Amino acid sequence: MFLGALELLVLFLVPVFLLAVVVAVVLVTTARAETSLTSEVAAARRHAVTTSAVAALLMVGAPVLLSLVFGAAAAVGILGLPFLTSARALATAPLVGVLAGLCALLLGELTWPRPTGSSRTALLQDRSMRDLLQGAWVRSAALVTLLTAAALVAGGVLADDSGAAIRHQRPDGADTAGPFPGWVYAGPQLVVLALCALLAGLVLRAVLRRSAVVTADADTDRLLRRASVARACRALAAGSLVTLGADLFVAGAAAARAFDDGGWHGVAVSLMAAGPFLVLAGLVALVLPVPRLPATPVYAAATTTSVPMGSA
Amino acid sequence: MTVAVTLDMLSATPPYEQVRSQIAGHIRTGSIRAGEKLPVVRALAADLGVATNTVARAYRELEAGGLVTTRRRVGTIVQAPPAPASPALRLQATTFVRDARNAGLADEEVVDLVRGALIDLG
Repeated sequence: MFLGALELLVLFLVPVFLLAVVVAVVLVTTARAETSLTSEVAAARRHAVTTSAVAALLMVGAPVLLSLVFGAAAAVGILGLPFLTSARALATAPLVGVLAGLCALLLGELTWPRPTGSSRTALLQDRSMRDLLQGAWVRSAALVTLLTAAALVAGGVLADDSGAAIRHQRPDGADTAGPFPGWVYAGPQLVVLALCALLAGLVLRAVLRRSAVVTADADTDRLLRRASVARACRALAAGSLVTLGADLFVAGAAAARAFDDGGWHGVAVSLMAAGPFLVLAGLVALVLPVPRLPATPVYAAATTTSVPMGSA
Repeated sequence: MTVAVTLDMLSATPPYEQVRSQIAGHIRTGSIRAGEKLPVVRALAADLGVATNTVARAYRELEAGGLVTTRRRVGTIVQAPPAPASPALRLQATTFVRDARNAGLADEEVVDLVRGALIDLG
């Protein structure tokens, strides 16, 4: 079954990679020309893109590295690691990747270009967390994270005493099947998911508190902030979806064996079938674009006024 | 309309006073109206690249002047000026500043001119 999951993952990675290439080409060819931006806004955009690229590399690289190390350790028996430790590490790998990616995003926000020079202008515009927490990415991340947390708790509750299998008690005996994402797997996953949510919250706070880009109008500044928020939410949503999908697949497969007939068998098979699609959705989410500057400049009707100092 | 504050870090006027005077000017000319919320201290300080104490002091001075009020969990809210300038007076001020600029005076010199007139009138 694990081999089947790996094969499915590889099967998914190819179209997702192709989709990523297509998205990248479209984004590059339709990006606003740097010559139409002020140097400060262009520098801020470069900073954001670089941060995003590093975060994406970590999000993909960290789980792959973790899987290779612990997968090899489990297969060859090196490092003296018991199989369960390796399996736990593999179960948390997608969320560990999100954790690494969010660390990069947080670092990017904390090192956002600060205003310099002798003349500095700031808009007297209040910005609140409520303004930032808008858009489909925020809603999706919140929904998927809550669903994943609920599924992990459900897995823990439904598992048997071993925490890694599901048991079906019948009058004439009992069927036990595993691996099942009980507390043995769901516990570490929940801890890492909570850390991811905490880190995403820190990224949002850093986005809210970071300085506005000098020379950026209010709309551009708001857009840059929303893009940063969307990147953090995209990472959280993608990692949660992959974890949720993988867990549903494993849980459904185990439950289908334990409940070999009746309505619960159908439910288990449905969960197993839904799992790969959720994993695919998570991988696709990783390559979907976040809000960005429009391809052509929009000259807002807004004007900026300032009064000479010492006038009051 | 978006209202801005500009800091000249090379000016002899302390940064907090530049912030205070410009916000006060915006309030008195009606660019910022009573009930509007000012940015939080930390955000404005970050945008201007100055210490939070600088903006906090400007806000304290504005509050002492009765132009804003700070409430916990609500933020800094603009209040109606204690002695609001009439539209005619604001128009005269605008006309004066325009004429002074047309005459080649820098903004600092315009302000000095007003201060001089205030001293002359006692």
